[in-house]
Amino acid sequence: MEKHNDHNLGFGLGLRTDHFEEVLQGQPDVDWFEVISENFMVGGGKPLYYLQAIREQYPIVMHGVSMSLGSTDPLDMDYLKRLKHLVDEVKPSWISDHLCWSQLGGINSHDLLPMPYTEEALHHIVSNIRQAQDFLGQQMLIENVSSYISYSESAMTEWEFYSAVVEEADCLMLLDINNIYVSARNHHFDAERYLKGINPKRVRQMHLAGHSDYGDYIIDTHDHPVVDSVWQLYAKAIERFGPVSTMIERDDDIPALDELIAELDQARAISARVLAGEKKAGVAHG
Amino acid sequence: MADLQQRQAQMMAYLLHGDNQIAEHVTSNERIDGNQRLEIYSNGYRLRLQETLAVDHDVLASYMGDEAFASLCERFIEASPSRHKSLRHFADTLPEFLAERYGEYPQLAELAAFERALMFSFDAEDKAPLPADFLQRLAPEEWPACELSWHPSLHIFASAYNTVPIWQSLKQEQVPPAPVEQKSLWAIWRNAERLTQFRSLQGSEHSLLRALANGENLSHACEHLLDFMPEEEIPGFLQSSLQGYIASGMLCAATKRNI
Repeated sequence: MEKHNDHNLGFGLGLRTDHFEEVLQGQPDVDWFEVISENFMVGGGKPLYYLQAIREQYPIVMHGVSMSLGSTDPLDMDYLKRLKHLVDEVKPSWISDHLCWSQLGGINSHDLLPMPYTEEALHHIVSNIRQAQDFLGQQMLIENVSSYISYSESAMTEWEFYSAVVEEADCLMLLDINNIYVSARNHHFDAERYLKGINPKRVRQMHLAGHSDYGDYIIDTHDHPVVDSVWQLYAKAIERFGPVSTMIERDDDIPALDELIAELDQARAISARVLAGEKKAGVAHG
Repeated sequence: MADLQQRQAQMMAYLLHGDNQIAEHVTSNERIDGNQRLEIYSNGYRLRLQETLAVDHDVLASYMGDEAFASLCERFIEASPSRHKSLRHFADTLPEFLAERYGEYPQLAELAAFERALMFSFDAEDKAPLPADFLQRLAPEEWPACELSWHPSLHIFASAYNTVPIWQSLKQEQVPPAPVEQKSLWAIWRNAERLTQFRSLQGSEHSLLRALANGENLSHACEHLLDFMPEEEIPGFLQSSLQGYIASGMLCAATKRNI
């Protein structure tokens, strides 16, 4: 089967302050950058100057961390207006946020808190995603989060819930491969079953990242390189979803840009190997 | 939405106050039970906010020392949960908190306010500063009615203690001076290289800048200067002050106001 993705931007990195100047001056071999929207929802100054300058040289996607789509608080329209203003300025290839809630009663946990996987939660988050998409005038990508708790009332698996959300809200998926691995270890489910439960047509982007492994549980810390098990799961994902825009997130202990590009080259190599293998298999079977 | 709302309220009560009702609704397994799982979130919540305070207030942290700063973080996080989408606003009320709870050390509130003013100047709105030759191109008859506005990054920091010298010493990793009462005024703004800068202001300069911020033209602004100097010194003072502000990028063309 020929897998084709018109929206494949290639291999990207999270744009971080430490690398602004190097990206602008050195024009490194990165196909695109993802920015954390909230970091640029400011009046002006250095962050916006660099974003605008780098935007002239690279495709940008905008990744939000505080839309709190699953919260029973009403959507924050002031936040959405400010986000839309930035979207109009930056013209990103797409925008994303998370399958989670963060805020309640106006108080922000600044965390990506998991939803119970119930019909009630499903209808609620679908309605909010639809409202946000209508306001922003475009389809959004919704990302699966790492989680450490499961609610006893959950009536479906995470991937069933996630799939139902994107189908009913008619949005797209930002599949975080590391988050699938982290949650699979924390909740003892089969990460490959998760991948098999996902509709390939909905997957627009993938995240890779490192985590901290405490044996009995894993915490998604984004402060280490991607581990082998996550690379292996990424290979399975490419096998199932074909070439998909992929990027590495690093938010703490941020290394030199060259080091991240070398890590990104691993993603390029794995993707190329899997896709070449598929072609060969296609010829052999053809 | 009753169940979802209740579950979210329980989770938030757990994060903010350690109220454990949520634990009944969280599953356990043989390796890690529900309470340990929940602790990952409560630890993460506190660490994230502590880290924000430590990064945004690194000078205050080094002035207070590890133990006192950790105690401040704990008290502030407990008393002031975040009501903002962005963590950069989490500690907006820290200066007031310090003034109220640490009143015996008034320099702490000022130090926090100074750090926040620097932070907000850094990413304030962009606006083109006046060109360096603006005054040279201003015809003599245009001076009296000329109106100028502040660059959006410009703040005036009024200090009752030697807070800025304390900040400067700590930034240079030197022993800070003992706190003493010392009234001073400081201009904080972002320069052409997009770096935050500050300098002390005389009372006369403060008066001039205040008048400009209030939308007064140069003729009216000069009237305030009579409180500080004889009339004949005003033109020279005005010329040299404005030239300095313009060269530093502190002033912009006046914003058109609706009447």
